[in-house]
Amino acid sequence: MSDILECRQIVKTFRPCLRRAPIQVLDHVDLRLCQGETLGLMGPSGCGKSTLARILLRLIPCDGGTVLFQGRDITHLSGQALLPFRRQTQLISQRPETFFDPRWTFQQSLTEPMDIFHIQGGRRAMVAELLDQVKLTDELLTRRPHQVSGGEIQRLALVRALLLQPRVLVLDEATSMLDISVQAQILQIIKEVRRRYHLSCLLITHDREVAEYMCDRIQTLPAEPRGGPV
Amino acid sequence: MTDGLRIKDLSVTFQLRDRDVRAVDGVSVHFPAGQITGIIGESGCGKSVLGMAVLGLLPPYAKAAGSITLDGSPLLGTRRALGVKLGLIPQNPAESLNPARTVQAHLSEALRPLSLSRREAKAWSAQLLRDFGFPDPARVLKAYPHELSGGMQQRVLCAVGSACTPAWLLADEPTKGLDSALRDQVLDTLGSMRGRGVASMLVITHDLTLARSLCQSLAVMYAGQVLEMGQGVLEHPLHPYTAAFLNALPEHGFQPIQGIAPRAGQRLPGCPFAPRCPHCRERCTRERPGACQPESQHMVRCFLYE
Repeated sequence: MSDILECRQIVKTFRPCLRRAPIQVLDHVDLRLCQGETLGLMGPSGCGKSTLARILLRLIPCDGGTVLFQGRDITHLSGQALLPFRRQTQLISQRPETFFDPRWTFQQSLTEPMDIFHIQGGRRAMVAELLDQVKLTDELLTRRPHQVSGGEIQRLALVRALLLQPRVLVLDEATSMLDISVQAQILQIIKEVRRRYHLSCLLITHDREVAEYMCDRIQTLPAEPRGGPV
Repeated sequence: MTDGLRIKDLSVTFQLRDRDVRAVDGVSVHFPAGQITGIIGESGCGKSVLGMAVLGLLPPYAKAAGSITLDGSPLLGTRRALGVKLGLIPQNPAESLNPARTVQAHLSEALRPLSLSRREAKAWSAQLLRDFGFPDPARVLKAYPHELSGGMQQRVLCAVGSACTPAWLLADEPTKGLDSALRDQVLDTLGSMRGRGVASMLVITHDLTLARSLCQSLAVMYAGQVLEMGQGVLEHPLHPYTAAFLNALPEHGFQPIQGIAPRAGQRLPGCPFAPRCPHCRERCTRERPGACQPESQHMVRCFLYE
């Protein structure tokens, strides 16, 4: 299997404030996500899982190392050059409500990415098909984020991500705030859309049972970030 | 008199602009003193609203009817017992602590009902932190919430909740969103609270691992009602809803409950679980099942056991 997303020797250091010593969160970390696989990324809170995901998605810069997408070095790309990559990699977070504008209806929030990426024909049919896929009705499209449940907003976040026909889905603790029955429902839906749309997934979780159920492979980050001078 | 916490015909309705939403619907339960009782159920089933009604922390637009008594004295609509007889450990430690106040300020506020001098309050706060596993309380007292880890914030909240040594403690989703190491830490902390004067506890959770390890009895809520309560609920569930809820556990292959949960405030004439129940009969859709006790210390509301 060829790699779709890869990082090599990633280093990331945060400086909490000028008077304090910097904290090295990632110390020469390697990660490979193969085409069509689901890779679990595990480790305790604060070990740098989400930081690594954000570096892989080029949402934050790294201090050292390389990020490759389909074999191409994208570490230093910016602006328009990153747009095709942005479309093909989507993030679902632990708190999907923070990804939606609280003033907008879901109809508006789902239209925005299609406007940005100039997706014109068949918009309504695409939304209807994906809503059906995640077992929601179009009645929800007129509502705003505070008017739906945690499970519904997580599924709407999935719809918005899938509208752009991505190749890679990064799920950052996507079910950790949900109760067990809603979690089970979301996991089944993710399994189904992954199969149907041939997605590669990076699943960040601290729940080993979820990782073992969902993933082909699991990579664990070391327990503690390294504090002190680097 | 240690009669425990008695709730009778409690209903809580939120009056919204366009409709009324009944979050708790005719709940009658008895939580005996000296036990840890868990309240489990899906998000939105009314667990936290029930807890807030017990503590007198419902928002002004909520209308509560029925009665709640603690050892015989009425509780509903008052906050007399809050902090003194009833402590609270709220959910989301990071969001429950004021980011602009130090740990000392949080503890001093919690200790106000005891009318201690500033020096006494400081000494008591330090002792509380020591009890909750902080070897260096002087440093932690000066710290702001962002300077503490998730586990430390949770332990500070436990110290705040038990500051006046209440006989009852209500923990609302104490492990939500925590990793397994922190979850174990919280479990240890809650377990050890019984040795610090807290005799009885209500733990609101959807974390069944926590419920299994910590609680002596469990109440299962669905659509604002308690459908099952007693000992051995997880080992031997009687209600079809409890059985379906447990099927979503990893050891049962993450099987979701079929059908759609009723919308907030949607009231059905019969059993609220009837539309999703594999054992549903015609009677279930028109009549509300009463409480029956097919096993000792195990109540269930289902026509299957009549």
